Order: sequence, then structure tokens, then C-alpha cells
Amino acid sequence: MTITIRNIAEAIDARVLCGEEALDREVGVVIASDLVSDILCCRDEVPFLITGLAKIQILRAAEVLDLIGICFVRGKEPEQGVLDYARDMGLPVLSTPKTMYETSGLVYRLGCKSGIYSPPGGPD
Amino acid sequence: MGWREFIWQREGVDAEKLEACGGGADREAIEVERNIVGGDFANAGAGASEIKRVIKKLAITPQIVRRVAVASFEAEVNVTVYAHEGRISARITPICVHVVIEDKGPGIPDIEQAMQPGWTTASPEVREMGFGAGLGLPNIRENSDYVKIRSKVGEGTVVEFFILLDGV
Repeated sequence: MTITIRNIAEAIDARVLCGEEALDREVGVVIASDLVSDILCCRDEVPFLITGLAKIQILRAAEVLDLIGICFVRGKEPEQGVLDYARDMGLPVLSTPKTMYETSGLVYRLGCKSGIYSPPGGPD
Repeated sequence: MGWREFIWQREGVDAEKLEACGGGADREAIEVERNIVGGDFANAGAGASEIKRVIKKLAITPQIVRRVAVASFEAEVNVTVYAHEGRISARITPICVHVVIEDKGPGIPDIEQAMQPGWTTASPEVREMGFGAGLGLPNIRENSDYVKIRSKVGEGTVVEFFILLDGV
């Protein structure tokens, strides 16, 4: 079954902050982290990211990894400049009041798989 | 304490090709350069994004594009976090991507230690921004085929890496 960003937004009661036009993108794998380097250890090309780090740095990481969308948890919302940047990238950005744990659980229950996490020196 | 050097080469990598990577200006190459300002977190990673945009247009696999982007990003963030100023330069030849990141900064007293995953000297402020997990240099190595780091305490650091376009 195909899972889209719109399905995720509905499952976690998220508000769409930008990127409405891309909500029907199919979500392959999902990663959840507040650490930029950790996010960059994801081997998959186009993951969806769950994070509490609502800062411009996360969008830079999004560019590096070609993320297909981001959800900020714990009600975090980035500054307008950050959202403008995301809009220019055509990146859907969601915000949910739920915690990272609950958000991850609900998204997992939808059927989304975890991205491959491959830290330096760790097992493949 | 003078300049210290650390060199790492991926096992099984073609040494001849690596040597050709560092070759002269006779090779057909595309170059991307950008200055990095210490403490300018809003622009940390802008150079890596630029390099990525350039190589994405070439016939390079998404896996290699990702490896170049991640290693460049980590190296650039290190300069932003620790140094006063620096520069990232990428040279893309038909066989590899060669990236050099030089900075004027505090230098790394013990490079072997800094290569250990989890080792960090980042401030709490830096960690709040999602950086300083101690994975920067290890992530560069993980994504490269050859890494050379030279550093002198009180002067600065030069990180250089090669990524072959056809993998190992």
C-alpha cells in the first residue's frame, strides 16, 4: 500500500506549514533524529524526516540527502526565513504537537519502513 | 608542535586512479569554491549544497552524489563550528571528486582521537543546533575513498578527500 505525506499528516494531526502541492509524494522510508550528523548516516536516498530541530541547519541536511519531507514534533515551528527556504526547495513541512516517540509510533503503524542507519565504524 | 598528518585510504581502492585524481590541471575539471565564515551557522552547508547541485547535473550515480554531499557538508560544518574562517574547493574530474577544506582555526591536537566516532569538543550552544555529535570526521571517512588531514594547533586544518566516480 502506498503511504503519502498526506497520510502521515492525517495520522499525526499535523499542520502543513508549507509544500501543500507535494503532499501526495510517496513515502518510502522514515528517519527520526535531532542530530544532523545522525541524519546524514542514513543510507537511503529520499527519506522522510521526523525531528524536533526546527532550524535552518535541518534544511541544509535535507538538501544534502534529498529528503522528501519533514515533520517537526513537540509543536516546534521554524522561523519564517526557514519556512521560506523550505518553500523554495519545494519541501513539504509539517508540524505536530505530538512527541517524537508518539509520532514515530503512529507513522510506523501506517506501514512506513525505517531508513538504513549506517554510522561510521558501525555494522553495515 | 608542528603540522600533524593523518592519511586513510579505503581498502581495495584503485591506487592508480587515486593518484590520477590529484593530477595536474591538464585534466578536464569543473571547479566549485566557496568561503566559509566561522560561526555563520545560517550558511553552514551552503558550499556542500552548491557542489551537490553541480554534480547532480553530471552523469554521476545518486549514491556517489550523496557521498560527496555528506562528506562536504560535514567538513564545512566543522569549519563553521571550530574555525575563524575557511574555504571549500571541489574539483570534479572525469574519474573523481576531489574536495579540499582549509581553515584558519585552533587546529586538532590529536587527529586519531578526533577520528573516533563520538569524540567531540563542541560547546552546548553548538549541540543545541544539532551539531557536535562527534561524527563529522568519521562521516567524512565513511563516505570517501581517500582522506588526508593536516593540522597545526593554533594555525588551522586542511581536510582533503577523494571520491572515485565509479566506486571502489
